[in-house]
Amino acid sequence: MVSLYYRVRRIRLSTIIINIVVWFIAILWLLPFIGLFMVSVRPYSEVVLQGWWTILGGHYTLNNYIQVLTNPMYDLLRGYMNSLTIAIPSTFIPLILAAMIAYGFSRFSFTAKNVLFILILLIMAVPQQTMVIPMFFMLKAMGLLNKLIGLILVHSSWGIAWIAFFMRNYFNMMPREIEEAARVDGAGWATIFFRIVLPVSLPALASAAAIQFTWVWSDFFFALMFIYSPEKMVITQKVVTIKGQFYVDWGLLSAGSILTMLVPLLVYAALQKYYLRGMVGWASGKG
Amino acid sequence: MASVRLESVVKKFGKVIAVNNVSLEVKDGEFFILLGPSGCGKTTTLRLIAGLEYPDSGRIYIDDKDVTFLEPKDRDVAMVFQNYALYPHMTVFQNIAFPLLLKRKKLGLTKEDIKKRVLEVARLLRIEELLHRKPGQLSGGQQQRVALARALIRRPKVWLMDEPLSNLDALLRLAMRAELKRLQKELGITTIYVTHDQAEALSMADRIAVMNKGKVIQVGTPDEVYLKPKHVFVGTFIGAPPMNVIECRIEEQDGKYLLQCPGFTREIPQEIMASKLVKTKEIILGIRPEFIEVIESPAPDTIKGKILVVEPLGSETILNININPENEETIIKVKLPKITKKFRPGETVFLKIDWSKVSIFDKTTGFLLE
Repeated sequence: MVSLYYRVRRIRLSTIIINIVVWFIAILWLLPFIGLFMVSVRPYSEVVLQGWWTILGGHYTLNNYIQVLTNPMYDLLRGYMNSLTIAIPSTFIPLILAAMIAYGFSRFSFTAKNVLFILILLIMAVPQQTMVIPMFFMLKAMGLLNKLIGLILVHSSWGIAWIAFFMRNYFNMMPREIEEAARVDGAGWATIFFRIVLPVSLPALASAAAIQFTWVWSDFFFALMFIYSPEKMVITQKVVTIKGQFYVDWGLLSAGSILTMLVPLLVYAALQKYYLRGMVGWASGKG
Repeated sequence: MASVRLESVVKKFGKVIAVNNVSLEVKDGEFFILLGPSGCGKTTTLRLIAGLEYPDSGRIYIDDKDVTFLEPKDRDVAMVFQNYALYPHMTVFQNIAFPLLLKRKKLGLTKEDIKKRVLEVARLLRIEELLHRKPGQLSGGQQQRVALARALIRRPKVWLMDEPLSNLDALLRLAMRAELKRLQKELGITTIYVTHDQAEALSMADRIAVMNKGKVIQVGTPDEVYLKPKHVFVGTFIGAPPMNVIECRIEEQDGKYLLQCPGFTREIPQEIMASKLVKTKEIILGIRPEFIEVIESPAPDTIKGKILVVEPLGSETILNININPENEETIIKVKLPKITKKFRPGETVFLKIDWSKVSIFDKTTGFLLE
């Protein structure tokens, strides 16, 4: 009894308040998703009659998902394939290039280093919309318009800037002793980078990969600008086609949206272990 | 095995001169220690030898080969870092094997050879059962052994160590000290070792270079730097407690030379009389705490003092004695080997200095007057 008393007493008021606030924000954040999910698993007639938010009662069905995936009118599966074809290389190409650039910025001194770094920061600040016209003409000139490889190039180059910035900060915090140890052990710069620095930076690389993948996957704007053949459209473009001009089947649209979200969610879940560490950086790591 | 020679090496970081005209010669198979307070340039000197830094001027030779601007990998040196710097993503086996894997083709080694060598070194350092673990799963002492093993595997010409024991707890440090010394003697590898711990330096080194403010102040055997310090800094940096230093003046009176110190004045004892000495007016008198005898009753040639603090340390006792009633801060520390009598604070005692063991330094330069 006494111990229970102390245990109860030990919970501070601030802890309770923080918990309430955190739960409130979390629920608020999740509510639209729950609503979306409910719409996707219930027949359209029930949604229309009972509203979005009815969780209990009614019927549940996977019909919307089956429809959206198999009906050739929507062709979501092809969108999936196209998105994956674009998102995977658009994650790995900038990741490896930017890591090399970042390592150079972090460890070596060279002419105009600061100017170049400021340039990277500026590129990060430029809105995509302002660059789309020159990019359109560039892709056209290269014959890469309406081609997946064109979009891969666009996403890769756009990703390099922020990943280089992110990785440089990570490398700057990384203790240099293990690299020095490797140098004394007989390793050249390439060996140090690929066999020591990259494996040790896995948490940061995983964070960058998760974010870059999600961005590319969720991109609608660049895809809309540079891809126009239905068979080459990515998932975000395909989802929009579910919505008819005069009639919207909210159930189908919700199922499509959830399927679209599923991949980034899985990526985050798979990389969670790493990217949490990557975000915290070296601050909490052992010396 | 090799000799290492530094000739007038200078290294600057911006406006700070980290290593100031350092010349050293480390003999083949020697255990050489760079000793000094933090920021004295000892680690930078080691890094210059390793090739992790390049000097602004001066040359570095390993076995008479000029390595001044060679990459670390081309110098055939191995280094143990203060935080061990083990590769966190590799197992202990991979960590130890890494230097060999890099030179596998050059050395013509097969995977089996590497495995054999790793096991050999692991056995030597008693870490065979840790080979499959990752560094994060090891204790400080175990990590240290792995770092040593990694530095040994290549059989380098020179072994460089940057305070390798400073992250260990006191007991383990003592044990590792003896083990390192044994290992070095057994293998006969020329070793350059950096430390700020004077006890470590005295107990392990064949020779010590005492550094301060980027300069080498004295190079000598542990006995030489302890008993015959060339500079007042060496006397006060080495020893626990350090050398007592008293600022004195030399006055000539009726053809005699008088030593005027706070608390006492006497004719210059025959033992320290020297022509250089009498020409200098301001001097620093240095005497190690164990070369002072404490007598309870007045006797000729003694200095009167009052005990302020008694520090019993088990095997020895340290007395803090004030010899100048006008200034409470003129304190002489005396080390008594065993407790013959129980001294108490406040007691009046008489100090008999062994003048043959006294060092006299020039007050302006700090250097020994010989």
